[in-house]
Parts: sequence; C-alpha cells; structure tokens
Amino acid sequence: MSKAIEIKNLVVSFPTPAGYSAVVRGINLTINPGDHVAIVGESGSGKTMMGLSMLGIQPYSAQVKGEILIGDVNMVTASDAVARKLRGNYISMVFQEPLTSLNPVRTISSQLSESVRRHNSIGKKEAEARVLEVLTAVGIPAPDERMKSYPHQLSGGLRQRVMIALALINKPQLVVADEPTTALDATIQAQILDLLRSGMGDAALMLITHDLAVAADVCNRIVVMYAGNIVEQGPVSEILSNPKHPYTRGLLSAIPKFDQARPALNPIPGSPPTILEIVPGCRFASRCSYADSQCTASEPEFINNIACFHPVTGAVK
Amino acid sequence: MSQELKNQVTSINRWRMFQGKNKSLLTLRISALILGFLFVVALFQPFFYTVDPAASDLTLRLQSPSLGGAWLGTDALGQDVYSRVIAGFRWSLGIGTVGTLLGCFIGITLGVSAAWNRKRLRIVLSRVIDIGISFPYLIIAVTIVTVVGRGFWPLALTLGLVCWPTIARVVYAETLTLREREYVTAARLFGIGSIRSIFTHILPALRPTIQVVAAFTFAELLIAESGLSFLGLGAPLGTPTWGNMLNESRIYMESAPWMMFGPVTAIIVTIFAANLLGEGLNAREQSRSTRVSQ
Amino acid sequence: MSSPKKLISAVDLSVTFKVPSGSLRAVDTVSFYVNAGETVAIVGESGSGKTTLALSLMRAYAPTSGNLFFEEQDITHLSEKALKDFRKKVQMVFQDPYSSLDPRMSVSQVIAEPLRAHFKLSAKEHDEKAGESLKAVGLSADFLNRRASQFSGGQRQRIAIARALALDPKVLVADEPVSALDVSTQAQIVNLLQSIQEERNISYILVSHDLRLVYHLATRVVVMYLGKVVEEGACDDVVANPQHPYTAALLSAVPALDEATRRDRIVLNGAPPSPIVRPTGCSFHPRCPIARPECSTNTPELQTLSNGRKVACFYPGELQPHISFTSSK
Repeated sequence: MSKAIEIKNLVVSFPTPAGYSAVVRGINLTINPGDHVAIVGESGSGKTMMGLSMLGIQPYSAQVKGEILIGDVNMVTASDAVARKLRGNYISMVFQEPLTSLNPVRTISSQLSESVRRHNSIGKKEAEARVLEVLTAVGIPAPDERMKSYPHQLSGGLRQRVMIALALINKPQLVVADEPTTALDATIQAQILDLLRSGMGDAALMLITHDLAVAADVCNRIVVMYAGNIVEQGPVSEILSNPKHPYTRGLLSAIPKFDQARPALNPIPGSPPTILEIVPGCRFASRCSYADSQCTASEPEFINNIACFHPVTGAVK
Repeated sequence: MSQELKNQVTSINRWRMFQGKNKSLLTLRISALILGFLFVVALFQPFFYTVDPAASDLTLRLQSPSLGGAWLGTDALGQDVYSRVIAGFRWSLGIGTVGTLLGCFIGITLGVSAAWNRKRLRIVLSRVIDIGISFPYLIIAVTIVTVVGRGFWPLALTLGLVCWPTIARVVYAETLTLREREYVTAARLFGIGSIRSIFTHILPALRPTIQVVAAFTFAELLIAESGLSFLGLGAPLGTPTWGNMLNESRIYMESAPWMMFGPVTAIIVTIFAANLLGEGLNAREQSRSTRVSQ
Repeated sequence: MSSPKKLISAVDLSVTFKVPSGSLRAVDTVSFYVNAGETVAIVGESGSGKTTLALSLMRAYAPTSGNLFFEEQDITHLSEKALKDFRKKVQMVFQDPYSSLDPRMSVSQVIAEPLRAHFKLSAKEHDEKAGESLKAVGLSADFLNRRASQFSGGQRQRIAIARALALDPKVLVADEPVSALDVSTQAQIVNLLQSIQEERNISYILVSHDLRLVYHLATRVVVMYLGKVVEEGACDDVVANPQHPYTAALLSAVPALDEATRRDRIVLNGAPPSPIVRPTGCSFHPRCPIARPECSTNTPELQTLSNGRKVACFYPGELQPHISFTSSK
C-alpha cells in the first residue's frame, strides 16, 4: 500500500443542547509509510478525537463523517468485524495512561500473545517467541522474566514500553500514540521518546501531543491543530524556524526556554472556543494580533499547508 | 460548515441525551404528587372521614363494602374501615417521618465522625456501626416496649434506632472518599478547623446521597411499623394504624376480606411513592454528575 | 555581613511514613531555607520526596525528626491552634485545579474561605475582599457568584491563586502550579505569578519537574533524589554548570527544540527506585552513567563547594549536558 493512512474531510460531532457540534471540523491528512508525524494541539483542538476515530474507538455518542482510508477500507463506514481485523494489526494505539489500558488481571505475556494469535494463526510457542522478540526490541530488561509479570508490578516507564510493544507486535502500518509521555517522569520520558523516535521499525508514527518540543524531538513532520481544524503543517525544521500561522508562532513563543535574559513569556491571550461556541470566520481570530475584518467574516481554507489569510514570515521573536 | 451541522438534530439523539434528566423529573413529579397528597390527607384527616372512625356499631359489624354505606365495609367492631384507614395516615406517615429524621441524625453524626477521625476513634466508631447493622431489630422493639410501653413516641424511637446503622454506613463510606479530596486538605492548610470543614465541605456534598437514603428508609420504616404493629409491638390495641388493622383482619381473611384491602392499599401506595421518590432523586443526581462539562 | 532574613528554614528534616511493607523515608535529613522575596525551586521526579518536603514546610504534618523554623520561631511541634498565625502567612497552590477547589462553592466563597477561618467578616466585606483578590489575578468581579466548577483549568488556577493570596501571605508554596494546563495558559499563569511576586515581594517555594519553568522563575534550585538533596545552588549556576550527574541527566531530558541537544542526550537506565528498598551507597549509583565501584559502597555527603554550591557526589562536575541557551536582549 502506498499510504499508511489517508484521511479525507473528517468531521466528528457530538450532540449538545443546541444540536450537533463538531470537535473535528473537516480535516485532510495523509501519512506515508515510515513517516513520523506529530499532531500538536491544546485541549479542545480535537486531536484526541481524531486519533480515536482513526481506530474506530470514538465514544458511542460521537457522529463521524468523512473517510479514513487504510488501504481500501474506510474506517468510518466499515463494519465492526472489518474494523476489528484492522485494529491491533494494521493500525494500533498507545494511550497516555498504561495502567488503565492494560488488563490488570492478566500477565504481560498473555495479553501480548492474545493480540498476536488473534491476527495470525500461529501456535502458542511461536506467539511467545514473538512476544519475547518485541519486548526485547522495546528495551525491557530481562524480558523472559518480565513477561510473566502483571502490569501493576512494573514501573510507569516499563508499562509504557509494554504498551508500545503491544502496538508493534503485529507489525502495523501506523501507530497512533496519544500523549504517551505526559504521565511519566522527565528522565523516563527521555527514554520513551528515544524509543518512539528510533524503535518503530517500518511502521509510521502519529504522535499526538500538546508539547511542541516533544513533537520536535520525535517527529519529522508537524501538524498543528486548533479548535478542530488543521491550521498549519510542515517539516519540523520549517515549523520551528519559520512558523507561518500566528497560532503556531504563539505556541512557540509561549514555551519557556533556557533564555539567559529571562524575558516575560508571551502567552496567547484568551482561550480556545468551547464546543458550544459558534464562531464566524477564523476560529483563532479573537486571539490573533494580526486579525482583521476579513478574518472574522469567513474561515480561511487550508491551502499550501496553512489556513490563514495573513501568514507571517520570519523567525519567532 | 457550522450551519449545516447545526441542522443535523435528530430526535433520537436529543432524547438519549435528555433521557436521564427527563426520566428523573417525571419520577420526581409523580412521587412528589402522590406523597404530597398523602401528607395533605394526614394533615386534614377529619375532612376525609365519612363517619367517626372510633364509632362502633355492633349491629353493623362485618358488612361488605357498599357505595351507599361503608365504602370499604366495616370491621369486627362495626367500625368503618375506610375512615379508620384515613385515621391511620397521621400515625403511619408521622412515625415514618420522625423515625427517618431520628435515624438520619444519629446516622450522619456517627458516620461522619467515624470517617473523619483517624486511627483509634475511627476503628471504634466503625465497629459501633457494624454492630448496629447486625443487631436484630426485634430485640430493640421488645426492649423499648417493655421499658417505655407502647405508643407513638416509643415506636418512633424504635424505628429510629433500627434504621440509623444503614444510614451511618452509607455516610461513612461517602465521607471517607470526600475526606481525601484535595480541597479538604487545602482547607486544613489554610487554618480551617475540622468542624467548619465538615459543615462547609462534607455535609453539602453528602446531601444528595442522604436524600436518596432517607427516601428509601422512609419506605422501609412504614413496612417495619406495619410489621411491628402486626406483632403487637407497635401501637396500642385499637389504635387505627394500618399495621393494627392488618392484624385484626387476619382472622377474618376468608369471611370478610375487605378488612384487609384498605390498609394494604394504603401501605402499598405510600411505599411505592417513597421508593419512586428515592429513585427519582438518585437518577437526578446521576444525570447531574455525568453531564458533559464545558 | 548581614544575612537576609530567613522566612522558613528547615534543619535536618526527616519524614518517615509507616507502610505495610516497612517504613518509607520520604524526606531524609534535608536542610532548606527560603528568604524574603526569593523563589526557591525543589526539583525531582517521583519518589524524590519533593511534594512531601513542600508539605512538611507547610507543617501539614509534624516531621519525624529535625526542626522547622518560621521567622526564627521553632514551629516543629506546635499544635494546630498555635499554628494559626503561621497558617496565615504561608499558603499553598496545588497542582490540579479541578480537585483543589470545592465544585459546589461559589467563587466568592472559595476565595474568602481562608479569610473566614481567621476573621469575622460581614457579607459586604467578604465580597469586597474576594472581588479584590479576583481582580489581582486578572479575573472579573462578575465571576464572584458563579460556581467554581463552571470555569476552565486556567481560570480555576487563577482562582486558586486568588484564594492563596487572600490573607496576604509571605510565602507561597506552589506544587506543580501549571503542569495540568495547556501551554498558552501556562505562560499566562507564569507571568501572573511573576507580577504578583514583584508587587508583593512574596517568596515562592516552587515544586516542579519542568526545568524550563524552573530556570525561568527560580533564583535558587534544590535537586532531590530519593529523599535527599543531591545538589543545591543559584539557578543560573546549576543549570549552566551542573555538578551532580542526576542534575545533568534531568537537564538533558528536557525535550529539545534543536537537533544537537537531542543527539547528545544523557539517557539514564532504569526507573527512579522505590524509597522503601534503597540502593546501597550512593542512592543514584544504579542509574548513574559515571558510577565507579566505590559509589555502591560509600555514601557521598552533601559538601559545600567554593562558590556556595552544594553537591553530594564523589565526582562532581564530570557529566555535563548539552543545552542550548538563547539570549534575547
């Protein structure tokens, strides 16, 4: 297959007292094999909902429209049976909190073996060998012993490695990782980021995060989302050195850096629109210092990797 | 885009989302209506009598119900069953309310104290609650009857003493959780004392739970009152309470079955309304805590 | 030579908890102080004891051993009643703005709660003071009658700060005050904290794992590992020239915006150990990239270096991270 995943005009909405309201408002995204793409956004950007819809595990009340193409299967319209064949096999997910996503009453080995055997008809011994292989690949020390442990017996970092192993065990085309390091300590985060950067094998990686620095650390392409839309996209070096969208620029300058002059931080004033707010025009306009009447009248289209009427040039600050 | 999406309201989804809220509203309204009516009857008893409930005419004993005469027939002493049922309202509803209030007072005090304190006091108090739960209620009833005699207040006391352990247990469990909330720790670090903290943070948060428990307890106490009166441990002989009337009607079950209908119906309706109230309150609280926040 | 007035000072503080599997020494013989107007950061990961230390500095519980002083007065074993005055002057802001405010209370009640604990207020005074505090944190007084649960994380944290400031304290202990917030909101709150400090000359004790934030706000840094202080010094110094390998690793672990830092990252093995089962010798040696044989048998003491820096390591300064500093002038 030429593309790991192709998303066309994805819209995810929820029922509210005022009717259906979209958290993901029509996004288009292509991920090629081997790509490491970071979806960067804050709360309310829709990034998590997008990730869940890609695997077809969005909340029951959510309404999904558009196309999520994995090969020739559209996850939006696919039946449960078809979706289950793809999940854990072609596309898998790593969640933020491994303690709640791993079954606490089953050993690591049994959970991993189950996944292998569901998608491949191989025997128990072969499955265990494969489990050992992938646990070693993700850097778990003494994997033959560790496989017999239960999730709560492992530290946070090890559990997250197990989750990654579970995601990789069937050699998927795409791994979606939703804030995989947010709940971890700083030094453990460094380990896991290293693993995500270099341990994916042939799989593509979609890393969902709110931290631009984490995105830059692991990925080669950054997609910036705001209030349900993609507002900017591009290679990491471009986005960091020459961000064009005012929101991206704002994010970059709001991060504290090791700046010896210790200037005051430049926060983006205000806060993102809630799901219930109907905003005419560009959804970032109320917080944007470059906005004018054109911006509040109509929403900018996503063209040339940016959705903005007044893209900015030059380095930040 | 937003306009198009706005128009996609489907009645099914609207119903699903409001179902929780509507169902509890309906339940609450019906139960409030019924209970309200019952309490009005209790308050204005005399207006509902057809004849004086105590008036007994032995010539008219065991008459079957007739629209012209006694609506629900007469009993063994010639008393009008219907009027006696009405007379029973004040007693039964009164006992239920007083008993529940007493039980709540004791239960909340003990439950909160047990959960709030650490170590020794908590162990002692929670054991007290455990003993309370396992204590057979009949013994309490018999003891009180022996010591104080029979009557409204002794019965209310009995019922209060019987129901507090369950309330205490629920309050204890809930307070344990609430106690660990960060805002409670924060209050302590600001210099706020225990008592104040309990009244400001714990009790308001307990209110919904207590309301639900109280409603169900009320229903249980009604049954208990009927049972105790039936056994002769409740109201003095001859007092028109539903339990007593059930007791009296036992012998005449085959010859004058109408003697049972009145009290039984009254008991069922009241308990049904109380349970409905409890469910409605519960459902409302559930829908409140799972509402989409934003 | 006059030394600046020490507001809070802890001498050889230890806090041990009894747990089913043994005893847990969360804080191990730590000495700490904060002067008027400065910001001291306590840095560490899980199991370092940083939160326990912060809570003991607030006398949330009495320490197992050691002494705690506030303005020269020994408050180690004072009763809650005697501590009332202390509680007025030292306040706290918690990490999670969703659980540190009572969702049933109105904003006005939340903010004035500390006031009500110490003073008798009329309803008018109550609202006035609450309104003032709200304005000081950049929120409108219109919010006074709304329930706390109706606000976003950033706004709630502002309300929590307003509450902490209501009594005009001298020291504010902030436990990960912005880590639960979005990036752009974090920056807003950080700026707010800075301006408040400038206005009121409050001291901050900042507990954080985010070294970028610490660098931005703190004058002094205390690095903790497994209950002990492993390094201490002026913030600029510690970040530019860390002496303890753990500090170097922490600095190196900050997600890097540039390629060079990433390549030279110091990655530690294993995970922070449990405080119940401690390694022999130096508690960091199992994960230390420069550990020598003696590190597993001997425990390094906290020594003071020439420039006032403190380190607990036999080979200080050997491991250096590659951090790119920027300098905007």
